[in-house]
Amino acid sequence: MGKQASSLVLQVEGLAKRFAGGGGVDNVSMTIRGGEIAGFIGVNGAGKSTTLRCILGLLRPDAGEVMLFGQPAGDETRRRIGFLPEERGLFSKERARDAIAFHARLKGMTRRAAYLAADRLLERIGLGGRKQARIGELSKGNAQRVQILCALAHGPDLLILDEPLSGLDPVAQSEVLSLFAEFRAGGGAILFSTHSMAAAEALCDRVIILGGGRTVFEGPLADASAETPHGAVVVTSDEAGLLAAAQAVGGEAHPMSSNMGEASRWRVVLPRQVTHPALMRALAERAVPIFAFEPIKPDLEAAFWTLAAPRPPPKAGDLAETPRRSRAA
Amino acid sequence: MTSPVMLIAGREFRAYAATLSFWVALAIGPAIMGGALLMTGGHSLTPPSPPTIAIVPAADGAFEARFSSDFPLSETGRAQLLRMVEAEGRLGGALRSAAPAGSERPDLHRVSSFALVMMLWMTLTGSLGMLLQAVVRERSNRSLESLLAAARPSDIVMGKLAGVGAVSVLVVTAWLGSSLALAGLSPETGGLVSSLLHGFAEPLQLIRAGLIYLLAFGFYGLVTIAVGARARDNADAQNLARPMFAVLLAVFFTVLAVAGGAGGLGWLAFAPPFTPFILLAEPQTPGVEFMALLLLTAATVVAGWFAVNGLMLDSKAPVVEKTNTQVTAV
Repeated sequence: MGKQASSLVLQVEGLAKRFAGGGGVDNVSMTIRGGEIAGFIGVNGAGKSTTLRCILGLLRPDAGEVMLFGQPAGDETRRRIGFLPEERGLFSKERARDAIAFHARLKGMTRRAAYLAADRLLERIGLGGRKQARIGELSKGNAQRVQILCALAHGPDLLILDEPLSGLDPVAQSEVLSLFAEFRAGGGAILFSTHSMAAAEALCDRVIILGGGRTVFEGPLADASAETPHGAVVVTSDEAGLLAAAQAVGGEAHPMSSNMGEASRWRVVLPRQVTHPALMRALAERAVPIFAFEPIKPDLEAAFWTLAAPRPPPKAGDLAETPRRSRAA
Repeated sequence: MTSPVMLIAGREFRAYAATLSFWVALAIGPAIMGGALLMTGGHSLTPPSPPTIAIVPAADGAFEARFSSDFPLSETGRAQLLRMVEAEGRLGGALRSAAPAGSERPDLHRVSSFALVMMLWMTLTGSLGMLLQAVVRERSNRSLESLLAAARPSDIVMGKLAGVGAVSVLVVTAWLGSSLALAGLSPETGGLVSSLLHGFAEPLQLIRAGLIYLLAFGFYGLVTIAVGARARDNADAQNLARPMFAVLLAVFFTVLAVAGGAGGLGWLAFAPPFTPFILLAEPQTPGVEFMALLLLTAATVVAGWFAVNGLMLDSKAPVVEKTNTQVTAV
């Protein structure tokens, strides 16, 4: 099956899935092409796992459409996906190469081809000498690398990875990232969910940001960073003083975390014409104690705070709301 | 290309059978049986008494011949022998075979059946524990998602059932095979264990028992998967499976009662959880057996539906991890 860069690999339109006990997604859309690495970002509970499960056919959506390789998603098209779940789990007594070959054979490879692929991949990540080791005998990082190989072994066209770098040390992360780069260079597409903005910035061409169960942004990484507001992150113990100072300069202050001891972290969004020193002056005039003051940098994390902060539950009329797509999306 | 069912079954089978402890445990049962055979007289620790025939006058002036239970002739042979004795004319009256002397044979048959049922019951209970583990293991560490992304839920259910079923059949074969072998090596009158072995070690009876066991494993196995698919972890699975094991305990005592001669329990053959064991403990008429097995099959199909649907994730929202970087509402 030849991989074609730029061909449409995954298209999700208006995906909705609600659970009886609450939670789920209301309106998720995204598009991924061959040779692209897309980061799927959202706070805990935003609906990332639910979306991935709908794409993989593990959940039946209430509404919306999932297209894979230009066709409605089905058993055949899903064979071309490699999946790494967030929770890693392999038989601890199973040998590394057996585990990889097992997953490859489940996806339709012959026994011989599956074992050849397993051996080649294990060599590739430096575990060739441990291919007969049982999973339980490997370190956590190596076991995780084996699980990543389980997703890769059958030569998928789309890799769906849920937190692929968690639990890996920097060396292992670097190896895995180079594996992904190699996969992409071969025309494969990757959709990976992550909480790590640094990983997303290092790896992604595009990002899909989920907020309140909906796609709130989809587009190139640079466009996401352009959503960064002008302002500063302030750590203080005087909430009232900070709010007054922000109001005085025409800005808005939003808490970023619950109190850590006396102080709490605030994000102050300022009008473009208001400088950081102006905000500092306003704080000083009110004798607001400042433990830290950091201008907001135009990066993915800042964009994330702008776009994906939890929102009130959507009203019925909001379901048709279109996500913010960048011009290049 | 191997089917997903076979791949999953092979993996499950290897998970249990590829360990030394499994084979040691497998050998222990037959070894104990052989030991018991020796200890209770399997090879004539106590020499067996010779077979006898007693001819006693009957109330109507005729004579009755009473054969010992181990008399080495069939009914036809015995009748022929009596005709020969009668033809000699030395008795001075008619000679007939007495009704079976007492309850020795039927009792032994009951006890033999009970021993066979218990052997299968124990194997089934142990196998269900393995099957429960096989499902919960993947459900609790969420690696089930990897499998579900590559195979249909029905493939996973059938694969697990077939894999653990193969382990179970291996255990049953070891027990029944060694019973046959030991019965062949020991005289029928060699002692209690020997007599029991001869009581149920008839090939046709064993084949029937094996087939009924497969049906029992199919039904209980699918119930176990349905239970395991709904459990979050091991403790949850143990609690959810408790009612099923309670039913199996009820089955045990019912079979014990049947072996003890309790009547009026045949109707339980129509209750699917009891069907296989009642049929093994007390064979019913072909019509009754057919209807009972039909009901068991229907119940198995229902259990299969619950097992397959239980593996799907539709009713469950993904677990959301709470971390200290959780965003506070703005």
